[in-house]
Amino acid sequence: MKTKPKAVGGIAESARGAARGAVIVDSARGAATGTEDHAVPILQASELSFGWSAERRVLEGVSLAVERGQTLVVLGPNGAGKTTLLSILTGKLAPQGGQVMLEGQRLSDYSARERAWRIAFLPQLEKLPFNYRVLDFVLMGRTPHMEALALPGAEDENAARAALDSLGMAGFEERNIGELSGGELQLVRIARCLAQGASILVLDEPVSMLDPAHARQIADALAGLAGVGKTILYTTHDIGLGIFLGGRALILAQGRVQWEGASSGLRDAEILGRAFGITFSMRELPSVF
Amino acid sequence: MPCSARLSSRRLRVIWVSSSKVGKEAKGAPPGIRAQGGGAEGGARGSEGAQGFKGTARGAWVRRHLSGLLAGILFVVFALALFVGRYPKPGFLNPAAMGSDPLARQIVFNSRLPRMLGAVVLGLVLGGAGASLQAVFGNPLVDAGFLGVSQGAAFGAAVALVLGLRAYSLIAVLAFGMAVLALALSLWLAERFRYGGQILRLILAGLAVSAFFSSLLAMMKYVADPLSQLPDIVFWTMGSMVPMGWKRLESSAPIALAALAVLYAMRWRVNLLSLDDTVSHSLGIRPGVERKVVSVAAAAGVGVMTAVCGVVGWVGLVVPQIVRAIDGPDGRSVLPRSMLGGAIFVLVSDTLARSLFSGEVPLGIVTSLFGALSFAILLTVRKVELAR
Repeated sequence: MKTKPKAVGGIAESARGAARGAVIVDSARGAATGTEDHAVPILQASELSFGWSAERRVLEGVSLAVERGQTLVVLGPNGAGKTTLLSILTGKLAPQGGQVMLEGQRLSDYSARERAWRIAFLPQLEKLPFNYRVLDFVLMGRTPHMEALALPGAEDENAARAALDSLGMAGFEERNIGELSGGELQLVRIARCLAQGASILVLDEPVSMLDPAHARQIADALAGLAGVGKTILYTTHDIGLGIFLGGRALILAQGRVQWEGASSGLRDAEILGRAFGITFSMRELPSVF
Repeated sequence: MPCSARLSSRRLRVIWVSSSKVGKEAKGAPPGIRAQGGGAEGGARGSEGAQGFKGTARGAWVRRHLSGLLAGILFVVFALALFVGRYPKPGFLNPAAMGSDPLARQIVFNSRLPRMLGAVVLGLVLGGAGASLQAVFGNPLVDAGFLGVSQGAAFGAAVALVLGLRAYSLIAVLAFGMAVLALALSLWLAERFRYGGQILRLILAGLAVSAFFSSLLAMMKYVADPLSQLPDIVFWTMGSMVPMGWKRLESSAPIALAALAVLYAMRWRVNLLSLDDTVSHSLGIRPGVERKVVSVAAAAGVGVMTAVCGVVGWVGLVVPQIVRAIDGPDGRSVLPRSMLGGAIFVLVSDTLARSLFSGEVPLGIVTSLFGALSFAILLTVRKVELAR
C-alpha cells in the first residue's frame, strides 16, 4: 500500500519529466522560454489584478502559464489570494486588470459551455444540501455535454461510471453522498470533474482537512490523472504534496508571485522562508508524501 | 478497499444523519472532513443494516413505482371524492341516483368536478413549486409562497374587498397582480442587497417583502368594516376551494399548467441549481438566471391559484420533504412525485373540508393542520435527509 502509489507518481513524473524542468515561463510577458518555447500554454494569465476595494487589494500583477499536461501547484499563506486567483482562472470572477488566455484565446470570449468543456473546477468548500445518489451526483458533471433541458442518457451514464471507475470508486454508484467518508466524497467530487471531460482540472485545496490516508489517496489519484495527460492546477498548504506531485510551483504572497519554479525548489528552506515569513527546517518528519 | 463487499450490501445501507448533526457539520466544515476512517470501517458500516422503510424489498418496490402509485392513488381518490359530500345526506352519493336526480347531477358536474379539478391543479402547483424552489435554493425549508407571493396575493384580495369590489374576478385579478408585484419586488430587492450570496439575498428579500405585505394586509384588516369586510378578508386568507367553478378554473388553470410544464421540464436542471454556485458555474450554466426562471414559474403558478383560492399553506413545504425522505432528492423523481403528492394532499384535505361538518371548514386550516402534524411526525419518527 505504501509503495504502489509512489510508483504511480513516479510514472507520472517521468512521463511529464521532459516538459517539466525545461519550460520556464517568464511571468511578466507570459511568453515561454527555454528549450520548448514553441509550446503554447493551455492556460495563461498575465498581469492579473483584482481587489474588492481600493484598500482591499487581493491580486497585483500575477502572471502564470500552464503547459498542456503540466501540473502547477499554487502555494501561499492564508489570504494570499490563491482562491481568488483560481476564481479568475476559471472565469467565475473577471479580473480588474490583465487577462486570462485559454488555448490561445481570451477566456472571456468563450461561452460558459465551451469553457466548461475545457476547465473543470473543484472548490475547496461545497454545500451539499441534499443526499444525492453518487451516480446522479457524478452525472451532474455531464452538464456541458447535454442540451439545457435534456435528461442524462446512457452515454452520460457510461461516462459517469467510467469516471468513478478510473478513480477506483466503481461500486459506489448506488450509494448516497451523505454516507461517504471524507476521502470517498472527495474522490466522488473529483469524479464529477472527470465526467465533465475537461482537460484542465483546477482544484482548490484538494487535500486540506483530510486525514493522512485520505490525503495520500487523493494525491495518488491526482498523480494518476497527471499521468494520463490531464493539466492540473491546484492550491495547497501542504508543501509535501507539492513536492510529491511534481510539476511546477508558484508561491503567492500578499497578492504577488513571490517565487516560481520547478516544484523541487520547494525543498529549499530559504525560498520557503522568504515566501511564508517563517523559518523552515528541513529535518525528517513523519509524512505520507 | 473492500469494494465488492460494499457493492453487495449497498442497497441495505442508509445512514440517515439527524438534523442536529447536519447543523454542526454544515457550519464551516468543508465536505470531505467527516473522516470516518478507511476502507475496513466502510465494510463494517455496510452491515449496519437497513433503517426502516428504505431497506426492505417492499420499500424498494414502492420507491421504484412511487410515481405510478401516486398517480393511481390520485385517480382513485378523485373518483371516490366525486361522490363524497353532504348531498343528499352526509356520506356517499350513490352514482346510480344521478340518473333520476337532476340536482345530484348538477352538484357533481358543476360544483364538485370543477372544484376538485381546481384542487388537483392547486396541489400540483403547490407541490411542484415547493419541490423545485427547495431544490434551487438548496434549502428544504423554502416553500411555494416565499418571495412574498402569498402575502402579496392576500393583500391584493384585501384591497379589493375593502374597496367593495365584490366581483370575484376583480379580487382574483388584484390578488394575482399583487402576487406578481411582490415577486418582482423580491427579485429587485435581492439584486440590490449588499449582503450575502444570491440565495441568502433572495431568501432575505422574500422575507422582507412578505413582512411588508403582511403589514399592509394588517392595515387593510384594520380599516375594513368589522361587520362585513373583515370576515371576508379573514376567510379569504384561510383559503378555500368554494370559489372554484368552471369559469375560474378555465381562467386560472392554463397559467398554472404552463408554470407546471416549465418546472417539470427543469426537473433535472434543478439538481444542478442545488449545487454550490461555484460548481454549477464551472459546469457551464448560469445559476443566477436559471434560478430566476424557476422562481418566476413557481410564483406565477402559485400566484394564479392563490388569487382564486386564497392562501393554502404547508403543502409545498411538507409534500416534497416526504417525497425526498422516501426516495432521495433527485429532481427527476421528486418533482413529478411532489406534484402528484400535493394534488392528493389538497384533494383529500378539500374533500374533508367540505364534507366533515355542515359548515365548510376553510381549506387552508385543514392543510395547515395536516401539514403541521405530518411535518412534526416526519421530523420525530424518521430522521430527515441529511445535508452536510
